[in-house]
Amino acid sequence: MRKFASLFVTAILCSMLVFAQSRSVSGTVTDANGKAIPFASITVKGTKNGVTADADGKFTIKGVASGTVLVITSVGFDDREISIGTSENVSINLTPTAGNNLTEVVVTSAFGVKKSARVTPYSSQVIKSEQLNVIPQTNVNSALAGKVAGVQYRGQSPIKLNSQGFLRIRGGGSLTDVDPLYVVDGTVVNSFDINPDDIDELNVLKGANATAQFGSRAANGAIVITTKKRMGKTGLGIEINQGVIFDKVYILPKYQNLYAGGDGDFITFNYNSTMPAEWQALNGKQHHDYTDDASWGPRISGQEYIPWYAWYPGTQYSFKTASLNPQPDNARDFWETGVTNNTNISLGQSGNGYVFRVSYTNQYIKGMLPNTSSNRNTVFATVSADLGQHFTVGLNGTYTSQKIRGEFDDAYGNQSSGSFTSWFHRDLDMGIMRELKDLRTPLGGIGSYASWNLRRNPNSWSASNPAASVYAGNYWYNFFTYFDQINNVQNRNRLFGDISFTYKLNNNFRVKGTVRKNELTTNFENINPSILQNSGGQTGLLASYATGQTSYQEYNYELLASFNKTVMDGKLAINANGGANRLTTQYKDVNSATNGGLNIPNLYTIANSKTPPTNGNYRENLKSNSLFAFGDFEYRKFISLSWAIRNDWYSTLPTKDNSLASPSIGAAFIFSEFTKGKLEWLTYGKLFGSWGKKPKTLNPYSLQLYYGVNQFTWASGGSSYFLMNVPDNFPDPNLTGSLVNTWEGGIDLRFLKNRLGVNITYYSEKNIKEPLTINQSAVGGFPNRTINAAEIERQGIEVELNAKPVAGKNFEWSLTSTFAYITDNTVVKLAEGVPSYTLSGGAFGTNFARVFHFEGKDWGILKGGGILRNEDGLPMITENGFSGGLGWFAQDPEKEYGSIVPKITGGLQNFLNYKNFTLGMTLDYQFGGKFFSLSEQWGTFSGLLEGTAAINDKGKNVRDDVADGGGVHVVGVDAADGKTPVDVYISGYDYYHQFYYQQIAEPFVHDLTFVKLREISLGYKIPVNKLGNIGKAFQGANISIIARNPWLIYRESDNFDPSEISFNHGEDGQMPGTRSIGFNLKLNF
Amino acid sequence: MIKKIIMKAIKFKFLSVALGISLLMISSCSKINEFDDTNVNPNAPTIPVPSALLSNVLAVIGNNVWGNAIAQTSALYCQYCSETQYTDASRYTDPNLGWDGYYGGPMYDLQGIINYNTDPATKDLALIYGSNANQIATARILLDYYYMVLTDTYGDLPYSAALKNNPTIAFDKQQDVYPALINDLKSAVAQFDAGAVFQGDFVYSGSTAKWKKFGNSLRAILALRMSKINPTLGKTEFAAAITAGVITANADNFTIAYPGGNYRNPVNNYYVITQRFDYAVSKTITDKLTALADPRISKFGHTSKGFPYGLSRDDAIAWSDVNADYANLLAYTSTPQTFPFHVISAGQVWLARAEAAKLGWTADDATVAYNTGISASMEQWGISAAATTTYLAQSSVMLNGINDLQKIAEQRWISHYPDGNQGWAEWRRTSTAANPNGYPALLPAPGAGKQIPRRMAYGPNDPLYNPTNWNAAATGYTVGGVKDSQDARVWWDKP
Repeated sequence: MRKFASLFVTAILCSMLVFAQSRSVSGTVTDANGKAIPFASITVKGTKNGVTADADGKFTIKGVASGTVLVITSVGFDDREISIGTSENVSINLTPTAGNNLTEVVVTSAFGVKKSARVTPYSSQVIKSEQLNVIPQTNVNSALAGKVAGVQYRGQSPIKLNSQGFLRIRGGGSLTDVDPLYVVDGTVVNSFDINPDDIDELNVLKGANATAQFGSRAANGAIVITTKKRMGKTGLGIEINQGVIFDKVYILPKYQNLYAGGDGDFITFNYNSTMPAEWQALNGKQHHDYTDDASWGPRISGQEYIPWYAWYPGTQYSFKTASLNPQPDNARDFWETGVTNNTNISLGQSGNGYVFRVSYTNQYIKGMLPNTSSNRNTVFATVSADLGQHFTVGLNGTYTSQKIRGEFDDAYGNQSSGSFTSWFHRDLDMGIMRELKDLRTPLGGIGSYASWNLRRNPNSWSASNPAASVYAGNYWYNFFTYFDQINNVQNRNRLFGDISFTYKLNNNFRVKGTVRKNELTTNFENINPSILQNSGGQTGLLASYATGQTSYQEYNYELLASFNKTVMDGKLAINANGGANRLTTQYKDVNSATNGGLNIPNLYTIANSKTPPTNGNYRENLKSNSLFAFGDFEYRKFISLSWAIRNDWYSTLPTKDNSLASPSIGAAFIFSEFTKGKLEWLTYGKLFGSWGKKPKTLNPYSLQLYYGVNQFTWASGGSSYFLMNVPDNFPDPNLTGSLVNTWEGGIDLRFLKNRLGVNITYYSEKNIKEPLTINQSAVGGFPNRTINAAEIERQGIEVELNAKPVAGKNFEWSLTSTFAYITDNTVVKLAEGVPSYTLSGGAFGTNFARVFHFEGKDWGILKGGGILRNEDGLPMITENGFSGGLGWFAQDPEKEYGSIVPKITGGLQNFLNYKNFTLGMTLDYQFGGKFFSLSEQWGTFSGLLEGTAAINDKGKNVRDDVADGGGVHVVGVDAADGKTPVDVYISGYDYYHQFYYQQIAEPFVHDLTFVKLREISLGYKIPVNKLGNIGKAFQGANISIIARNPWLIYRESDNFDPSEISFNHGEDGQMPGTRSIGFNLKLNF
Repeated sequence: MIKKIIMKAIKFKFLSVALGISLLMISSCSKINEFDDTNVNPNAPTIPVPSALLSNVLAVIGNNVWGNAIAQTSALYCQYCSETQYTDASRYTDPNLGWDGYYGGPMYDLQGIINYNTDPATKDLALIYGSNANQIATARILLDYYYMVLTDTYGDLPYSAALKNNPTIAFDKQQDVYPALINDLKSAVAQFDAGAVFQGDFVYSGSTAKWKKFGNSLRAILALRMSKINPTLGKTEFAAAITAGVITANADNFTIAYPGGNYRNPVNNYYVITQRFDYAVSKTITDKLTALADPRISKFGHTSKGFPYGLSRDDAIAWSDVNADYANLLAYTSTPQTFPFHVISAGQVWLARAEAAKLGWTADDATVAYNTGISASMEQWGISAAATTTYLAQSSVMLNGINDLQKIAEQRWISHYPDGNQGWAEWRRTSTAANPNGYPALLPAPGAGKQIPRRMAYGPNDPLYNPTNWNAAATGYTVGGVKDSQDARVWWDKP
């Protein structure tokens, strides 16, 4: 520690060496459009006196006499010489070198320090706004799909308006998937609160470079976002961006359309006099079984039958039979057309010594689930002003307010896709369903709504209790009724930003103090209306009201001293920074929910709870202090050494040992400096490598055993007894923080005057002794334990390719391609006596597929019941559990299917410009990785999916009687001896039910592989200058037609979009994939 | 020139301020690692309250009668209940149920009471909740009950090394666990002292006399469970337990009196709050009660029409459509939230004594014990004394030298309703090579092609987290080449 402190002091004291010399000149280097050119070299001609401009093109040079000539050079621009008069301020314009597309790439590194990409010793792919916002984006995660090498976007169905998907960087680094850190202008935020319209550029930090600034919170990588600070040019600028997108359901399971609902043949209705008189009209007619929510019913052949709605009075369909016809599109017809309206207005101005930009964005989404919407308003403001020569004050602020309405459950049994994919009647007419969403049952009181899934078939009518006997929805409501009635609203309000104050002594030394605040308050209200409780039989829904509020506050106090100096006659550039940071976070919530129903129907208050309401609150505080120093040395612009050291003290670690030191070091070598003139085709070549350690800390309150106290007391004999339990998790008394060892190296090459570029990076990381909560057998008393456990390795290659195959006057084509291959992602070790760790899954029986980490195997192994096979790979056939005789597969409980992580991910982005037209396309792909579909399992069990009504090898339907040539052909060997051949036909019903009863997941395990065209944008730049007077108002206008997810080109699974699998283990009742089309209009004034 | 010097001075001033701030932060390095009470959790206590741990166990223990998955499945196996819709468990697919919720839940809460009252550092702190001895003895008896439920369900299980915060431990053989449980009950009963009673006990209000009766009753039931495999030990322990004093009247029952509200009777909770109707009273038991003209039929279900046991799914749907008035458990939706459950009741103990007497294990009069047991059970279910007298007078009921052991066994089976743990264990014990269908004669689910399970396969977690020890135990339960088979028998279940 002392060593570290002295290092820090040294860094700051270096600045003492600075002595102001005679006369100095300040200036700004820009291109013809006034856009800053960063890091240009400025030297006094004929001397070795020189400086480098900063990232904003600003510089100050001393020792300048009148009449001195300054030479300004920058990569990609022609050199320029200017003569200095008596002025102390100069503006310098540079002209781009003809045919050369190489410009200085600026990388925002830790604490907003901008560096030339030349000196970065790690791969750092910068995504510009144009690449990110090919189409108007609803969230930053999906905008990144396929655009950054080594980043896997695990999407979620866009129907879920409250979900943003997940980014997995470089495979699995920890035992659980942890989100990367999102940072906007240095402030840590949530991906929800990032407005893609305000992003200028985005940089994904993957290794130790991420933690150098943000500490252990960034151990899983950081998405570092720089917002748009200025409009295109000097002076006042206004920009309006208006986009509208329409969403339709795209990927749906493949259904059978031959058999109707129920679990058996037609039932003949027998009228008796206790029944409603109108039902007499239906006497002797037949209907399928309404109560069972499967589709193993009668064959659909246009015959007369009694549809579900015929039993309810008051409609044109009441007491009338209908024809039983296939409804191939019923599951598709449910979904509404989603509309996303995105409006962004921004204005800004920049002038001498100041720049500001204000932006307002409204994004309104009408969801595809009925009665769902999201409305987000974002106001963003940034100001930077120079106060005299030495002071700059900066302010960034974002306020986001979002209201999300609706229920988006996509787990098993949810009331939309949870029915369509798992338990459903294939014969339902969705148009009539929609039409009858307000249909009530003829009952008194507040009544109830009609359902297609009657509680009982009408033959069991009981006049004394019609609701229990027939009318109530057995498991399901009319889907439209449900979503009309359910009323969930969540609000989030986030304010984040910073105020900074920079003191710039001269071009060499500056001190910046920043205070950052991030505040998030949320509240929610969930109402399950009384009438839904009345309308359900076994839906498990009680009338309820729940509400809650959360508040989160985070403060960062940052102090940063920076020193830049060129020494040894301009040959050696020194950059050194030192600083300190203090982080405090405070979280509080309160929430309440009714229990046991409501006393007074339709009164939604906590006080109306039938039994005592649940009240909860939680508080959590965290602090950490950090000291850090980082910098680099660059010698003659071809070799550089970067270093960083950071020490964090965390409140969450044991007091006696709460410090973690994380050093890193790296080097970059521009070897193309030596091939200049020899290898004409090589424009740029850089070798780089870096090593570092990433700290990992504990969550607050992880160090002790905390007993659970139940808020509800037990009343007995006039006393009340309170309840307490020993918690499930036992924290190891020796818990500590840990360090992850990481290194990477690579090469960055650009050819043919930058027409082609390739960057190849190899990374290797070892996570040892991370503090983690593991599952264990509970026989010791604790089902979980928090220990320093595990050793996880990950290695891989990332390739980024840039090319400009065509660069004509009228036609230009550029592309970026990313590719990542995980060569190794092994869980080397778990913990002593811990052979496995459960990551995900377990709905409906633990032998169905779950995800585990096993010692010595790939990260995240999908394991679940398989088909037992003999040595020759033939399936072992056991007793048909339904009708006896051999016919069912024997279960192999030890079947492992492989890792859930796709080994290969990547993407391809194309931009084609022809005159005023621009075509942008983003494609992404992944290969490998496994998922399990619980919906497919139930869709099979329930006879919904195509395969359950397939044609067998005798040309008969598998549902036809085996005696008539139907049934499923089962070939294998007798499980009893593993060799006697078995060759039988068993009924489709028996066959497709076995997988649940035998707990066999195998047929429902698929590859995550896909290739997807994710974004297309065809833009037209309206030639405003030819529009006469109207055009004079505009500086530019751009209209584009856009499409999101237009084409899932390839996939290795039938029923779901593998790019949008909801859980780690797969999906349990997932919403369908969507496809969108829309337009965007952009106007500049 | 002067201006320049001033400027320079100002520059240095700012520089030194900036440096000063930095140095200040560094100089306070000694404080940089101090966060006061930031990491002190304001949300939860770090010290247990033993009485509250006990209350917590007592609040959930009734789920062993009916409510948790093991109890519900056991109630299917002994055909107290039928499934009405998805009938896979009653057609004997592996229910895949684990015990983690037991060991990691109430069992470790009980162990926590023992630890807190044993640890020299905390035992004095525990005294405000009762004497150390009374707290420990109470917790031990309840732990023994939990072990009994689990070993009867699974067979071998972690016992001697369990609940010591070590997750990878060997399974003890059931033949070792049974005597150990009996010994532990003996010493726990003996441990109660005259000190302050254990607070938090809303079952017996700290009455050590009643706790002793409960402990001795458990010991008697364990002893009788060994009738097929070790009658010698069974006889000795049973007789000794009776001598020591068991539950003899309903006032001594181990009764969970649900207060209602958020602590409801589990049956009421199932139908009213969960709103599922998957379980009904089995036709097996309504047939038996009907045949015996047993008035308890009106209490066991809301009608007397039992649901045929173990039908396939479409048969179950077809049947229920024309028999909508089939019996759901107890009084169905109108079961009071406060309907009490009896973990062990006087009727059950008396009937066990009747059997033991019939076996010649005790000097009890079998008929007296039998009639007292039935009467106590009738009283427990709210049947009038007159109706009980009529019932007992039937030749199909009275002990008259004809099939007496069968009559006792059937009455025991009835008396444990709806407690499937006990009902299933009792049925298994009465099934022998000579009488494979047991008393009452239970037939497996029709057409399932499987026998009634003799045990449950171990849960899913042990093969994952304790594989070596699990494997050793599971291999011991191999039938027809299938390891950890539900058709394998536990130690006391001799064919």
